[in-house]
Amino acid sequence: MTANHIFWIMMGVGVGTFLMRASFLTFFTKFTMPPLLERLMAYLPVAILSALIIPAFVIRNGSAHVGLDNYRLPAGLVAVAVAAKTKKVLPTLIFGLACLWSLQAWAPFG
Amino acid sequence: MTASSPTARDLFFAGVKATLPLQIGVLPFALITGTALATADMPTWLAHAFSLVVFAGAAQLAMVELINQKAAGGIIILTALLINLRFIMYSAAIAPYLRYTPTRIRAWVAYLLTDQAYALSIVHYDQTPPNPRQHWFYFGSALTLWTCWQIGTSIGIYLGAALPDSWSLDFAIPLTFLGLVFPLIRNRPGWLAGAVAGVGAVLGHGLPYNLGFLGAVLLGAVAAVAVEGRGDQSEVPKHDR
Repeated sequence: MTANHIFWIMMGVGVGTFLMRASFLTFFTKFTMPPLLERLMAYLPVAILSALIIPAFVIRNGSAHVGLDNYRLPAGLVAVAVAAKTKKVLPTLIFGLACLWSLQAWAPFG
Repeated sequence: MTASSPTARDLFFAGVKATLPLQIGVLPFALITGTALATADMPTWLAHAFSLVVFAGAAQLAMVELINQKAAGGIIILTALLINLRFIMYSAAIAPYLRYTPTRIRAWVAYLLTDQAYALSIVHYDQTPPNPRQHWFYFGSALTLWTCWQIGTSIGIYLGAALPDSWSLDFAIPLTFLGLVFPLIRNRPGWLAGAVAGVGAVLGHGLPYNLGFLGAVLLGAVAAVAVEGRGDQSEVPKHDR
């Protein structure tokens, strides 16, 4: 992807995000949100984050790779346990990265 | 109620003061986002521009993840906008409190709108009598967050560029999302949304333009709403951190 391409993607997101932030503050000050849409929107963050997390642990070089020699999977599972317990970003990040680095250095299943 | 209403200056610094403790959480997140931005193949100025133009952590991280996966431009834009849809809810929730604020100033309110500025201001407005200078509390809070975000991501961009690829720092992106996702799951439909979207994204990853990813996300949200019952009242998430 060229810098030019990324620049226009960024501008698209920037303008779109501004319009959403401004929506009820400046444009439709008299509208209210349809309740069904509001309920759907409430689940989008969880759905999007999960759809980014799980493939990042499982998919390597374009195909699903479920085995211990894919170090991101065991490291990811450790991080899942830490995240479920602490519900905090920093411990999750530290344990997950430390686990990946140890496996890469030790290479027990390679 | 106090005898005299607070001045713009009082309100601004009350906003700053309420927001400073939160920076313990915001700064590391900004550092991570900056470091992740540095893992994407783009010039440094463009990485800095992300924080100024998009100014939303989770969306910035998701964009880097998808840019690294070489996803189609339209899918990247759509994904980031879906993540940021919650700002429409914040916009709707905060607008009634700022009805005396001129439209030109409200555009700045909109640009600076974040999870934390929204949450802190709503709490403040809920507990204090109406005041035509209400927006100054918001600006104190939102500008503190904006400044810390720009500084934190800038440091992260330089840090990330200095560290070698063998550190696999791109793995920090899903790990950060993992730390964010559990507090957002409040009920059983929430678990379903995550499971359907996560598994669906793996199964559909071979589809062109990352359409499998978007399909999985929408399927997850629809499945959650479909099984929602009494006592599963979904609420607006307060933090994306």
